[in-house]
Amino acid sequence: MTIISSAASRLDVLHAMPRRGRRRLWIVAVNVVVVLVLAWMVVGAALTPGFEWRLVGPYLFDSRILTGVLVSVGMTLASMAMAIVLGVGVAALRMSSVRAAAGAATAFIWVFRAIPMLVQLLFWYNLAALFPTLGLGFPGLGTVGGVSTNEVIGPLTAALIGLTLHETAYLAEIVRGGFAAVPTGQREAAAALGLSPWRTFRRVVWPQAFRIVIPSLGNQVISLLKATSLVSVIALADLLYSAQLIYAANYRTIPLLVVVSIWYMVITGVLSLAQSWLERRLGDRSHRIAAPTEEGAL
Amino acid sequence: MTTSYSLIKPADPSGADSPDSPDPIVSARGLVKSFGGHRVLHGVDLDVAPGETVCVIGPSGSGKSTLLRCLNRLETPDAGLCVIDGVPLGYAARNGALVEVGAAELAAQRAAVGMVFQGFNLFAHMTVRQNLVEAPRSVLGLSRREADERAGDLLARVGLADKMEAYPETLSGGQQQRVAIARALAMRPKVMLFDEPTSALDPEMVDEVLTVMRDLAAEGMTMILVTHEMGFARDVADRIVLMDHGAVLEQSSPRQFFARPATQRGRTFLEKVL
Repeated sequence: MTIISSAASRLDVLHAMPRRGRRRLWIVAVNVVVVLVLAWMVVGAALTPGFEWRLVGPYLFDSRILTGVLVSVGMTLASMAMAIVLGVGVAALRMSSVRAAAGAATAFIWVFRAIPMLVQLLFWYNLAALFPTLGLGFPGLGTVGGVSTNEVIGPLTAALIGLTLHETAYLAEIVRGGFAAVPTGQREAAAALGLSPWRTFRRVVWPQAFRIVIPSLGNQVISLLKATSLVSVIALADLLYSAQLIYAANYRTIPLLVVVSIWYMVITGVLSLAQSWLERRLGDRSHRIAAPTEEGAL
Repeated sequence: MTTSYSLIKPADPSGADSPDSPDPIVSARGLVKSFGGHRVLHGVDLDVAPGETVCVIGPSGSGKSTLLRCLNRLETPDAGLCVIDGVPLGYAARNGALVEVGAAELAAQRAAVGMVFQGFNLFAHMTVRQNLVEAPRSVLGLSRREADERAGDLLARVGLADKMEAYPETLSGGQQQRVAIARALAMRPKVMLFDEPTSALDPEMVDEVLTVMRDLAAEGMTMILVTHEMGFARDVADRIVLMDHGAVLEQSSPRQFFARPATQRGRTFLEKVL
């Protein structure tokens, strides 16, 4: 109530331009009120007994939770690394002049972006129901080799496959955008100098595309970190599932969720710092080039 | 401007000044190129002698740039062939027949042809020095020291010795284009192609680039340039090639051409640009 009425009065004062002094006073007053109200709400909520803050500290460094942190971070980094390699490959296929390759890449991106992460994880985890054994199959000719699917694809493998493929689809599009943002003139100049296609890619196109892509890459790592919490549905002891296992036994649900949240915030904070360090280190030279005219062939 | 050393290896003294046409160093035959059904080049022939400076002029859309880009095969012609110093670009002779080569081999052939673009196209993530040493090191296999030395000499030559460690974005357009020329020269090309090298420059920067090109021509570099700089064409070119509608309309000495073009379309074009 106070906020709304003061905001309305402030509007009146805005129209009365000459009375600068009173206007400034109002702005200060509104700020103070907003800060006090917010602080009151946050502190009030935090003091709710249900949080059981005294339990948060000890559980924060519980060995089961720390193992969960390692699993979550490890899965994030491992699937991100694999997804970058695969994503560059899919992006290259997508841009290929071979129609079939480009079509396959487009289909891959569509499928793995369209199906929700959670559903994909369940699919990979339950792959044994679909294919009890894994081997090289040729329709009508039988199967070469063959191992029990359940032996090969445990929760960790299922999680890594699911996370990697899902992330690959997103990265392929991001990487393609990065490549497209490197002016054609850069490739032409490299070609005219006699650089081989691979050398042109390695030394000219990729370094520039990479810089363009870093901010999006940072976002993706952070969403991937959070997406790893979905693996709790396939009983993999990541950060969230480790906490769930504890509170399933002792019913301290809220403090453990607070512990989980704090860890996700800390890891995200570290990742953000790493991202801005990387951005600063590489500088932002590459995408400020305003190559005058990119005149076509005519 | 006199210089203590030359930008390029001294040309063969016997051939360059001979009035009898020596073997051409660039020889294009029947170049045809279409873009999406629109035919841009209608079978163009062009011979350029070693040390010659040829200015290709003509109305926009006449196919000048496409011709230039077919000469180093940045555009693959639909038909026709370009032979640079005896090497048919994009092909290799196998069992007496010309066979198209792969991308890597074509890249190596291209090293003999330097190219300067309208938009400079310096590698934006590299310093000036890195721009100059990249290709000599990776394509010619020069050592770091050799490549650095060559880069330093060429930068001094284009008046930018103090910009070795600068990034392209910090340079003016004229400076960037001079670096681009130095970068192409670092490969010791046999021919230099210039695609409207001054068209993207502010007027006050045009001269610094033209001066470098003038020196280069004076030192005997074989140059083919597409330009709108008629003054430069008149002063520096050995030959003017006028193109229109994807074909060579006429070619003659600048003196003849600028006095009176042989064709009506040539006269119309000249009236417009002068």
